[in-house]
Amino acid sequence: MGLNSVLGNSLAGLRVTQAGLETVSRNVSNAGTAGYVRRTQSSVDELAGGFGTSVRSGAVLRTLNEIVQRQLWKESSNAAYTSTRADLQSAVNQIYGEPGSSAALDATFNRFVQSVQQLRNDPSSYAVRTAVLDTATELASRLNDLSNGVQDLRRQAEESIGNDITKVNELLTSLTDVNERLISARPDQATADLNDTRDRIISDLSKYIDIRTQKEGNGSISVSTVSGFQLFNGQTAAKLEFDAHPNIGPNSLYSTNPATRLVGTITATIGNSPPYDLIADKTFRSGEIAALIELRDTSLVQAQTQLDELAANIASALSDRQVAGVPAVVGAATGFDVDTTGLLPGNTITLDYTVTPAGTQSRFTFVRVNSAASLPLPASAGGDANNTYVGIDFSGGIGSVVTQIQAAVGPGFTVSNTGSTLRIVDDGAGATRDVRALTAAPTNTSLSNPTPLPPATAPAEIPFFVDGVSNAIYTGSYEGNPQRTGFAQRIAVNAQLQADRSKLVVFAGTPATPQGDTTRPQLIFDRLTSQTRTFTPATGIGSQTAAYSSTIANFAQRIVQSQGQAFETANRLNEGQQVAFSAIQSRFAEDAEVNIDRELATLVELQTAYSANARVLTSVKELMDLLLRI
Amino acid sequence: MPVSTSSVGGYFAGIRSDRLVSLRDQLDDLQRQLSTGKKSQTYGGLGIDRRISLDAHSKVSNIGGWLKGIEQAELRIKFSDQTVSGFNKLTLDAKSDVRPASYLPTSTGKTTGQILVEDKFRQAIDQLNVDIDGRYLFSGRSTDVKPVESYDIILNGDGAGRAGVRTLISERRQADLGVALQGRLAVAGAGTNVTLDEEATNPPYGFKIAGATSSTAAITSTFTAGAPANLTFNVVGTPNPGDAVTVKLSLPDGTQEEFTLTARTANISGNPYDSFAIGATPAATAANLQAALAAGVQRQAATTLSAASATIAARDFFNGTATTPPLRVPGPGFATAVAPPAPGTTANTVIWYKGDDAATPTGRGTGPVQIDASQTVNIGARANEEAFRIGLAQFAAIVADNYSATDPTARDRYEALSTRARNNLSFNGGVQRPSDIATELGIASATIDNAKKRHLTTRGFLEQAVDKIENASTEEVAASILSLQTRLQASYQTTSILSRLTLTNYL
Repeated sequence: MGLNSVLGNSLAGLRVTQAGLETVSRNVSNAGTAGYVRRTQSSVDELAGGFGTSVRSGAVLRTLNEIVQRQLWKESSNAAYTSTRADLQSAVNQIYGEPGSSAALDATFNRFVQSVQQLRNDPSSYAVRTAVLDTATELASRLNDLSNGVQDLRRQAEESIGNDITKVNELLTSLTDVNERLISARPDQATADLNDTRDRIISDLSKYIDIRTQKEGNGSISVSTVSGFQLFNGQTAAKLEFDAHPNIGPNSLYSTNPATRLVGTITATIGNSPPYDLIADKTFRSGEIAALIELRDTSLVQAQTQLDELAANIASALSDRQVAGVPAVVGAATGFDVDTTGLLPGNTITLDYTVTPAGTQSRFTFVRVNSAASLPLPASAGGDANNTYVGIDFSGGIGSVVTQIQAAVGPGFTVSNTGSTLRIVDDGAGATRDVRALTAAPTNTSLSNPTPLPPATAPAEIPFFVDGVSNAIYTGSYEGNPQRTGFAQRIAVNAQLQADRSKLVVFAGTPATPQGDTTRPQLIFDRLTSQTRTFTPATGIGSQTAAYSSTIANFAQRIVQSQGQAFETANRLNEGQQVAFSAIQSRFAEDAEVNIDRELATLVELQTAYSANARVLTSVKELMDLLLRI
Repeated sequence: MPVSTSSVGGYFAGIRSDRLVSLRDQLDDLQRQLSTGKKSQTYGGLGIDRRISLDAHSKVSNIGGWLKGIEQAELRIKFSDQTVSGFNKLTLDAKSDVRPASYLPTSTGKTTGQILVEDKFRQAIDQLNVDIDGRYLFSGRSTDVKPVESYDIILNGDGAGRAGVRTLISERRQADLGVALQGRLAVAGAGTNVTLDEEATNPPYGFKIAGATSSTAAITSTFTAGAPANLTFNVVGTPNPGDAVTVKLSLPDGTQEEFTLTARTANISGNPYDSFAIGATPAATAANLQAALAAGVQRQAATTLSAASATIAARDFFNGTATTPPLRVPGPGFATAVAPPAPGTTANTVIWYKGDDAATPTGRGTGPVQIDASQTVNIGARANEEAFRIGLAQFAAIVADNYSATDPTARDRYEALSTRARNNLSFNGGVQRPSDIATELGIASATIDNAKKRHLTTRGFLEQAVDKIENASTEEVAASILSLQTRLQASYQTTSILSRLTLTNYL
């Protein structure tokens, strides 16, 4: 011990305070920098031979709480997920129109119904007929617009996923780079910066993908999704790829089978491993990408299904005849005969029966298809537990139809035919089935009936709406792509009807229907407002397993309602999530944020320490001088 | 380095300004509410009440549709009712135009009564052809077709092969009167017997003998019913002056006529058609009786039977429609026709009614107006409904004939026809009356009125409900803005004070 060591100590003190000042100045200057975590300078008592001999500056430490930080990343994923969903749902919701405005979907539908109401009361008026066609065209183009809007949003989602994947790849590359430098860096000021950078990368990543991080002993970090897929193992990062499809339409759906998939999917490759479909594996559970995938493949697909179902039902309700079966008795067995002529691909024959003695009422729906290639029907055709949809190939003639139906309904029924008339009877004495009704629903394809029929039997059904500009009749066919899919995008008013609007009233040629006849307008009105129809469970309206039964008018309202509800739910969720996110952000900020007051207090402290050290130096100098003067 | 500045971890002053922005957004939304008057711009923003809003909008739109229908129906009822009441009045007026003993010939061959009725006929046709905005009210469902032909075509045909009611009357009259103008009866005599015979072919035209009476034992009458029926008077003695025989004849329109032949001494003159001279012998008396019988039958044929022919032919003409054209006497050779009347064709007969003539629906049922989801009122009408047909047929029958001042049978024929016309215009015997149609329209009108009131009330409720759900109340929004303003100001203030409170200022 001696003056020399005192001198050494105070010099060391000056150095440490200088280092402290440097940290403070760094904190102050970076107060507003994104991702900057406040640092503190530690000082270490230097030991020599068991004695404290001096002081030196230690590591620069980042003042952050790692548990809170992980929580923050998690909430950041969730917040990105909910806000993306809320944004897109809000866009969907907006295309359905302002409540009460004339552009709203329900208002367009109501106007059409209202004009039919007037036609019903004044069938011969030219002005009213024009109004019916105008409102119908408006309704059709509104459905087209909505459908295009939905598909535009899907396209946007597809693009956004592509952009996000590019970002994620960049982030993963940067992460690999920064992580490598961190492993080999000295634990000083530089590592704090690198750590900050790495945290920022991870936090950015967490916006896109829900991630979990794992710190390794060597300062490295590994990143995997919450679902368990490893994005970065500490050395190499997975390479994500998205094969964006530029043309997205109602038929562009996701499938795990690459051959039938018509939208992009995200694949990952690690090193030389084969690409791995992350969407098929449901890797993304939260974050912006998960939200986009959900919208593209679920919410918006459902919105499209709802519109298609509405369009299909409007068209079919007006054009499909209901041919009721004629009661038939064969010994003890009872059932019905129904004429199968005029059934087009997609048209149905329904068999209503009761399972006895349980009394359960069920239904078979036989759908005409024209080739075996269209079988079996897509899953979207059915979905109702009490209504079994069976595709029947009519190309082999009525004999083959009988065989196919018999195979479908099983031994409780006996199926036979006389010419084109189909007979289905129950098992009579066996008493396990009771046939309640057999109905065929062929589409009426012409505006007025070509064959002279007495007016009482001439069908008043009208192919009011058709499929697309080619004026194809809508039958709900399953040849090729299901005709229903995307029908809302193509629905149009029959061009022949526009050319001859008297067909809104006149449905029989010989003898001609009087121009003031109300039969057809009444039929249109009744079918739109009071006929109960069933809507597939795929629309998400009603229960998951039973078809929703209601009038078309009601269904149109339910669509708007369900989209409004979806938006409201998404928005609520988002608001809640943003609050949670803010809370965790402020919790994190408590530790990590640079507080100028605190920094300045430290500055004052360091200033004092510096003066004290300098004072000690001065004293030593005085002592030395004194000593030298002796 | 793809790191955004908004990255999590950049916290400085971020959180507090977020809150300010959120407050500011709320303020903007309230301002929008204030200017648009709407709580939300999407159904999503309406919250759970969107269900009610959607339902109410659809109901209001439906009610709007019903009300429009009702408005139109009211107008149609008003017009229809005017026509029906007008028609009723025309029939009443026509009855008084041809009141008993009103025969007054003019130089044109038309009686004054005829001239007046012609005017009624024209009016009736015009009224039945009423339209609202191109929609004919009396065409049934063929609302685009003017229901009734023009007066001239109805009366005289189109001059291009299609016969009008005048031709049909003339044909019928020829068939009824027969070649001998004795109503298809033959008068004959042999010795003391005078016989009146129906034609052997029993044609459905002319008179049918219904019986005879004699007031004296000197003349016996024997009536043999049957087809053909015959009547024999046998003069067995010498009747006294004043003794009479009465012959009763059935006419094709269902009426019966009697005429009496009174015996008179030869030196007193009398009408040849209602008296006969007592001869020296029964055979001579019989010869006189035969001549008187022939004259009497001819007189009846020229008056009552001619009137009946006109009534029937006019009735048949107005019963005709495009699908079942009017019944006409087969001919030419009308005077000897034996086959019953058969439907003409649309090519040879004027079809006076051009509207909807389907078997169903008829009458009011041809114009159903839906005034509520399950309520329909029928306010249609067809010009060929029974009440109109009867009225128009009488008008036509009256107008069609000529009454020359020099024709000795003109007065009686006119009176016979006007009696029949008056009877028919009384709409007796369970036929439809114009007032029946008016009553039905009146009931429909009352029903419509009730429905209208109900709709207006319901719409009021619904609009209130929508108003509550969708529309922002100005007071409420203003109050919210005020409170928000206070909060926002306080936040600004605090933020500003906090930002000034830093140690930097005190070192």
